Amino acid sequence: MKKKLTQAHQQKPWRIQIQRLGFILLVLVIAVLSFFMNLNFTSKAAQAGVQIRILEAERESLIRSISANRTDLAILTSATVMQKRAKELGFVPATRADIEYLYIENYVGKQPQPVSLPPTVRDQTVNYLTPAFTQSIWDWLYQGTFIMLDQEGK
Amino acid sequence: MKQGIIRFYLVGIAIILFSITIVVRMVQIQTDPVFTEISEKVGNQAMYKTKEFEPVRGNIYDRWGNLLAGNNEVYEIGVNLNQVNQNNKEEIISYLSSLTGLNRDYVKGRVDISYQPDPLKENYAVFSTVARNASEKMVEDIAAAKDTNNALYPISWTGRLQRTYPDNRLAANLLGFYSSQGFFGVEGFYDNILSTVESTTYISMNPYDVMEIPEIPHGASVILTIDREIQARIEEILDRSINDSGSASGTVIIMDPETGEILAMATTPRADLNQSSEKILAEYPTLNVEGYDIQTPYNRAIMQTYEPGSVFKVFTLAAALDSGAITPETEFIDTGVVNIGGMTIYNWDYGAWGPQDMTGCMQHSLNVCLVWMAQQTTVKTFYEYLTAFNIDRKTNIDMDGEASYPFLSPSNPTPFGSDPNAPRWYEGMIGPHSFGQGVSVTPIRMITSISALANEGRMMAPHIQKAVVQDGRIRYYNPKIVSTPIKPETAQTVTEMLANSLELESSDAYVEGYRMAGKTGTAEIAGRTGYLKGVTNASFVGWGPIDDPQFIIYIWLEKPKTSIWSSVVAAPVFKEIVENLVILMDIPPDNIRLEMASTQ
Repeated sequence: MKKKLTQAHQQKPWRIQIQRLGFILLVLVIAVLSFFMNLNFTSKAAQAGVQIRILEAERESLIRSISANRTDLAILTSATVMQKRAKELGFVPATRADIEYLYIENYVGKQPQPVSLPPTVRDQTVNYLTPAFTQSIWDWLYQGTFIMLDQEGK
Repeated sequence: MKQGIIRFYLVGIAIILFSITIVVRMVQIQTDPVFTEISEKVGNQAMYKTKEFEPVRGNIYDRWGNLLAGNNEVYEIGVNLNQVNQNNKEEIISYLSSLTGLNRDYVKGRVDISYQPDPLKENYAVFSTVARNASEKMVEDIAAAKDTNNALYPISWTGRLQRTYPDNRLAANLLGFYSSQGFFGVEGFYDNILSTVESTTYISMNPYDVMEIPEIPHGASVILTIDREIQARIEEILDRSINDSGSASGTVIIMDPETGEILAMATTPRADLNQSSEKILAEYPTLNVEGYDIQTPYNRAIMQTYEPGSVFKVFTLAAALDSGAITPETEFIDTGVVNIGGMTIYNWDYGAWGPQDMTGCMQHSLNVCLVWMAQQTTVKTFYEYLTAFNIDRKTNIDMDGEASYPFLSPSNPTPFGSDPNAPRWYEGMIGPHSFGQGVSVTPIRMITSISALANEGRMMAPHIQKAVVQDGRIRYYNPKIVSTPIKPETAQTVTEMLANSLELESSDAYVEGYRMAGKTGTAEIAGRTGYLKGVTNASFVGWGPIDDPQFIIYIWLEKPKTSIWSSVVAAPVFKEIVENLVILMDIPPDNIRLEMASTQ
């Protein structure tokens, strides 16, 4: 009877323990990394969100400020103020006797001041916020996975 | 040992039961409708904030781009009530009272309001406004004070725009004013395009939930046909002439007859527009005139009708000439009196002027001759011409509040109903109508209709809007012809006759170097029981230079005291206005202009 020989071997228990510990530590490290990555992303997103709010408030304030500055300039150059300033500088209203008319070729006469044109209103149907500001990390991961799978399917 | 294990298990079971109870309670709270409602309400209060978007009201400019109505930044100062306590209250009251100049008791009352964050409760209050319309300087002072004094921490402010008129009273009558909506004038008429609709949006306070704030379009800006320099000069001249003549009020309109553009429109009174609407309206009081309570019109040029008198004669002359009833050379023997429809009509001086040609009739403003002229035209044709001049309707100028008065004519004989005592048209009315009595019109109606004579018979739609600036584009107003009541030759003939009569009369309206056509008008004023003694309305209409009319001027002085005659009080005003206008509009004297034209 032929005797089959099998070789039995077993790793030492301390090696198995080290392997298990290593695996657990690897999982732990990945989990911690993921957690901090997520924390980093979300804090950046929150910061960007707050920044957007601040900028929007600043824009509103600037719109008010521009309008106010334009009016302040108009007050400084109003008819009454200009007349007063002219009088203080010694000017007097011209009479017909003070005026001499000359023919100047190509003279186009008094031109109006350019009136500032308000900006065109943006198309309200278009979303101008990029997904980077609105997507969560999970949305981003899922979307990325689907795009990758779609590309592989092709 | 066994007891110890049992105790251990009991403690374990207790902990497990406690945990299960917590979980059950949590599920119960999550699913209970009462708790769900409360949590949603509390959550929403913290998560969402209502934000009101107020669009920027459009500016109003004159024809050269000078700002006539804009917006200035003002601040609303108040306190966050949840931050007010017994330790800082007194200091806040003292500081705000001294800074704003407001009564201490009033400030105390505002700061003493109890904090109530529940919006569903009647006494909901989280912020109490102490001062409105505060200046930027005041806000800067508060910011500096807060840096050094922690007790002032609850004070905060929000900015907003307030309508501001850089020239205060200038052109107040035509601009109107804004107070939550536009009233009168341009502000009232163009309210819908100067302002766009306010909107309210819920803004998420969650920084992860970034949303795009809707962009509210700004109101359109309106560029007017008004010339600020001309307006300012005309107001100055008008105010002085009212003062000199002792008139109750005055109106001057200057228009470009070729386009219908209003270059200036001055009336009295003119309120300071940079004050509250109550104070503005207080400058237009209700007066008792002849037993009637009459509200002072905001803009007499378009809102007050009156009997214009002899300036109306230009229509009678134009109708008679255009219909072929007369020529300039037609002779009329003036006897000084005429009887028509039971009415006896005299000349202004009760005199008989003998043989006159038609220019003489206009030069001496002979009522009797004008009645004859209308009769020669025939009743039907005369009123057809007045209708073609649109005397019976509004001009539809683009300003709020234009008035009109029913015009008694063959086509509208009983506008006040069939009551036998109510005024009604009868054939004899052609008499007073021929020289501008018994007809009530606004100054804007008069200048618009007469402008046809200065524009080769074409009457242009009067307008004050030159262009609208909206969505990054400028849209210009296209002048419109509203009527062609007479032929171009007739318009030229009338203009020439009126220029001759002005020169022959040696009128106070005569301007050396410029040929102008003009007509005076002294009208009696109707009272309850007939025309009033000793008071008149003095009017003047003139245009020029007659070879290329660039402006038409209408003047009305109400009840002048120094003289009742238009030739004495209104004609010199016309002269002064023309002398200023030719400088401001760069119009050289006729001889230089013609010389320049020939060298080109």
